[in-house]
Amino acid sequence: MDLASVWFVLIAVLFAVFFLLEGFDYGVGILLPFLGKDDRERRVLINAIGPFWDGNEVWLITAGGAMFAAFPNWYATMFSGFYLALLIMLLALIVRGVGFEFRSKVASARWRQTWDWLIFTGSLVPALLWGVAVANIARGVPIDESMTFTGDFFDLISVYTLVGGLVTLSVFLLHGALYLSLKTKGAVMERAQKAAMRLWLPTVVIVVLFVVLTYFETDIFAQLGVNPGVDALGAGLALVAAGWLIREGRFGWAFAMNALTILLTVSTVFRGLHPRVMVSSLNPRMEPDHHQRLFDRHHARRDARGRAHLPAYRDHLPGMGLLDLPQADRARRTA
Amino acid sequence: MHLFAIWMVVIGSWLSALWILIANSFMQEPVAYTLNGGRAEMTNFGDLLTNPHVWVQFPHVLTAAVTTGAFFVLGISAYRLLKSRGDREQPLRDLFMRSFRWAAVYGAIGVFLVIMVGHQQAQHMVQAQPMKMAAAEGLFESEDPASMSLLTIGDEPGRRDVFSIRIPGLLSFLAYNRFEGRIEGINDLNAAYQAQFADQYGPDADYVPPLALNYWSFRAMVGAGFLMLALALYALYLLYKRRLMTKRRFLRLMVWAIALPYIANSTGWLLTELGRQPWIVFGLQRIEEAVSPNVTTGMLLASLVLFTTIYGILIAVDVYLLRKYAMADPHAKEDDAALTLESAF
Ligand code: HEM
Repeated sequence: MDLASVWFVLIAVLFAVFFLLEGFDYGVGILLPFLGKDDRERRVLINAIGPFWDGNEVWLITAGGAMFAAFPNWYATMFSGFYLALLIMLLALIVRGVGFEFRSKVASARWRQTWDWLIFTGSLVPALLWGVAVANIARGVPIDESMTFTGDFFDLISVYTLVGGLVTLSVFLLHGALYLSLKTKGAVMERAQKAAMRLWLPTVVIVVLFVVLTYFETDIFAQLGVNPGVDALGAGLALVAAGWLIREGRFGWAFAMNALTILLTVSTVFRGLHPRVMVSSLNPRMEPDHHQRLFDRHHARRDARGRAHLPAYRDHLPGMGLLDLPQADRARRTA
Repeated sequence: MHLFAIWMVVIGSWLSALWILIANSFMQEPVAYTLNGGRAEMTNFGDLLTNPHVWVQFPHVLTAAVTTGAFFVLGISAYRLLKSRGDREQPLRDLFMRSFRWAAVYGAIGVFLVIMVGHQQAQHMVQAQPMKMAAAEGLFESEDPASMSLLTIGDEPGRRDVFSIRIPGLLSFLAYNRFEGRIEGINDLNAAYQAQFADQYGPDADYVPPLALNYWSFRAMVGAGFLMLALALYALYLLYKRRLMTKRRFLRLMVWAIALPYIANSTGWLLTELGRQPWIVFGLQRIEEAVSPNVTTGMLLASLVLFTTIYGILIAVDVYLLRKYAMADPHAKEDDAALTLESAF
């Protein structure tokens, strides 16, 4: 494995763990107004993630840092391309974090209710936007030859990407409900368990819808082949198993299975992208068919003189907008 | 366990400051890189860490942080000393007397060091980024020996003095520790850069940062610095004479002095960043070259307005809470953030 791929895997792992951990605290934040009936119960809900949520966010910072260090082009294209979307996400995260810290500082009902709703919104927005972002990266956004994003904010919003947003939202909600089923007691726990039971089926429906749409909207299936791999199948199985375990009342195992779903889904997405880090929508229709691309990937790595090459299709197509291995690496490969 | 956690926070904060300043120092004084097809690539990690700019900037920021903390505690303690009355509150007064004393010692040491290091930093700046120094001093024409400006009213577009009160020789002294030595002025430096970078940016490119902002930022920081030194020394003197409690006006002043380190920190950063203009990475990349082509002015404006609004609100909430906690009984029970964990083990 070359250096770029090692970094790619590392970043995938960082994101996978980030979604696994931060997923449940987003979920708890969104469930806060619904599961906590009074101030004390809401405090209990927040305390359940109190020691963890900021540690969980560090995984995101590390992932961003790794992207910046290893793939500056990726970082630059994504952060300026998704500028407004990331701005909204950042503001939501700021408000949410402050909410956790400030909520208890004044013993007034209005003060606390205000922060509760800000925590709710600050958790809902990123939970939704993460799915939108991942769906956009997988489907492709307009990126030109100079690796500049040429679209605007509204190019990022479509039925497909919104369904993607619903996927992360529902999976994180389920994750949060399962987490609370383990971490709390009494009435709050019962409500959390009931919420998990109710959330499972809608989650499955949304995920299935998203998978079907993904088949039509992206080349991920073609990238992965007829057998999409253990991770893709495992993700589906784990989600089904989680549903069964919830019904059996085994919430610990259900939480573990849902966690597995998150990990394996991230793995599938990143594997579907590799060796690209973002897909450009400016050229996919011009691409040779998917099998040709797979063929290229496996066979066109070296030319007649044995020099390593990137897959041929990428060099031939006009408007090549696939953003991939960093330039230095490319220079080294062709040198 | 708590002590361990406190030390981890201290070490974490220092390390965080160090790495941030190493990154910032690269923009001030790029080292340890080669250009590969227009891209700067790191050649030697060690050289990046030993960038001379880091080792004047880091101590300055660290001592500035100590000063900030000290003046914060001084201000709160002064406030509580003012508010507590009668025998019943004697224990409270003892407590805040103690914190005032410690903070005065820390503050005096911190502000003394921040000034000393700042002086070194300025000497380094004369070598590394002379344009920043010329801008900070409002020095339009080169001088030898160079005078230090007490008050300069300049004609910024015309790049000349309108009115200036200067102390002869002092700038040379501050820069070189002797009363002679040439300090380059804004106009000469601009001409020199125009010649040096003519191939890259054309002969007419401009290399002058926003002058008034730099000039006044520098003055605000240094002014706040000397004011804090005076306050801290006077506080120590009063403590030594055991006359602090009789100087109620001084205590009231110390409450307002909480603002001083914040003013110095903010203006210090304005100087550091604005003084580097028009470079994003000094000598390597101008800001025009660093702009993301797809991020529009409108988007930037929107984000600026949003951030300012949210931070503005947060500052207001923060000050409100700080006030509340500063006035709270220090021996009262913790609030419920730490309690009520029973049902959420
Ligand atoms: C009174 C004497 C002082 C002098 C001569 C001085 C000098 C300097 C100089 C030359 C810089 C710019 C460094 C660069 O751009 O390369 C700077 C920046 C800065 N100063 Fe000061 N300073 C003084 C006092 C203070 C005080 C009292 C504080 C805060 C309590 C402070 C906080 C800062 C900060 C936060 C920066 C920006 C970070 C940096 O580049 O170091 N300074 N100072």
